[in-house]
Amino acid sequence: MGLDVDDATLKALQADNFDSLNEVVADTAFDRHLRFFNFGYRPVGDEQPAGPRLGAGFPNQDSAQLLFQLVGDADLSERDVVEIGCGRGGNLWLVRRTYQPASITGIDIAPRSIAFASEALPEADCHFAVGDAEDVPLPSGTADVVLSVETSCTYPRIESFFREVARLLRPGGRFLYTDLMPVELVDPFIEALGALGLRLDHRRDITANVSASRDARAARQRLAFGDRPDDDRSTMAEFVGESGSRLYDLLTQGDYQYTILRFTKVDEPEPSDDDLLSPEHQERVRHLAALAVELLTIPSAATPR
Amino acid sequence: MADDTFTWVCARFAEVLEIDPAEITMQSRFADDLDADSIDLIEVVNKAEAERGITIEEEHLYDIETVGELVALLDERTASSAG
Repeated sequence: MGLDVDDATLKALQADNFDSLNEVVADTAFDRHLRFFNFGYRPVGDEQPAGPRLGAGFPNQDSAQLLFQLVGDADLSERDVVEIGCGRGGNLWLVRRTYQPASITGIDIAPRSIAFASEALPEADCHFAVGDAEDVPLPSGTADVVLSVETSCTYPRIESFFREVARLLRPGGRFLYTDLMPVELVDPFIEALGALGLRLDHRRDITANVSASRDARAARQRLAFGDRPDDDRSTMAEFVGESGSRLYDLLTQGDYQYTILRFTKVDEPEPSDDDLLSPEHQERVRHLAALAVELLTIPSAATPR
Repeated sequence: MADDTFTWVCARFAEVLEIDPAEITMQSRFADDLDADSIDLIEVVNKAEAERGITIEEEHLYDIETVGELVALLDERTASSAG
């Protein structure tokens, strides 16, 4: 695996990876409870958690906390909320339960994730569709809020995704964005979104919180995947960001920053085909997407393509 | 019925958490007192569903904080599925 495959192939492989993860989870007793595929946020020191208190039986509390931290003071009530890369719909489910939005819409490239989310949220105000984050199958100006949680690092051409976010948002709409980002790309990402009319309102490095979550929860969460063949062990450790995995190393060794960014769409610039990222930065983005495909391929489930 | 259910719940958590069932009371809080997480709770609820032929809706499970609340939920579901 590497940079020698085209973007469409990278995306198809990423979809396969998450479909495979859905199959792994379907074989466990936790299937219907497991709504989140992300690392999560843990308050550190004397920091108080954000959002409503959740019962002890609530699964993936750290993922819920990541969402509450990301939303912050943004008002989601009576808003049309769209999540790009929604996975199994956990964030949107929690948004609906917590903030009373007008509607929720989730887009994800993995058909099995969308099937789970559609079944878990059959109500009329909930919409899910398979789709590409860099070519979203939704009309322009349909979102008051766009969410993106730990998914953009798998996009080979992230500026296409940024253009889609700007296209989907109504004037005054909010983009709530969090992910693991190469440190040197955080400013260029903010500038690229700025060129699309999105003003940065809030920026926070939450690497220490996400690391704390992984230290506390990753090994335990991997157990919920059940007994896997030995060959799968290292990949399952990557999915949960367990100590010793490559993704844990990226998170903790300083070259990457897990960042929360909140934007407001304040302008509608004339469309332009100019590159939003330099060729070097675009290459870095693509390298990360290819690495994610490589690390998240479950050996026992991999099919030749 | 609550007594039987309580005894059953204590026995299951004693297995899952590897603790003495006598340490568990109706007032025990899963997270703070027993150091049990949602994975432990789901494991026990899955066993209850299989043994009793009941279904616990996820939303009910997610609000639970104490052993007493779980016992009440299991009894309520058992009664409604028997009726």
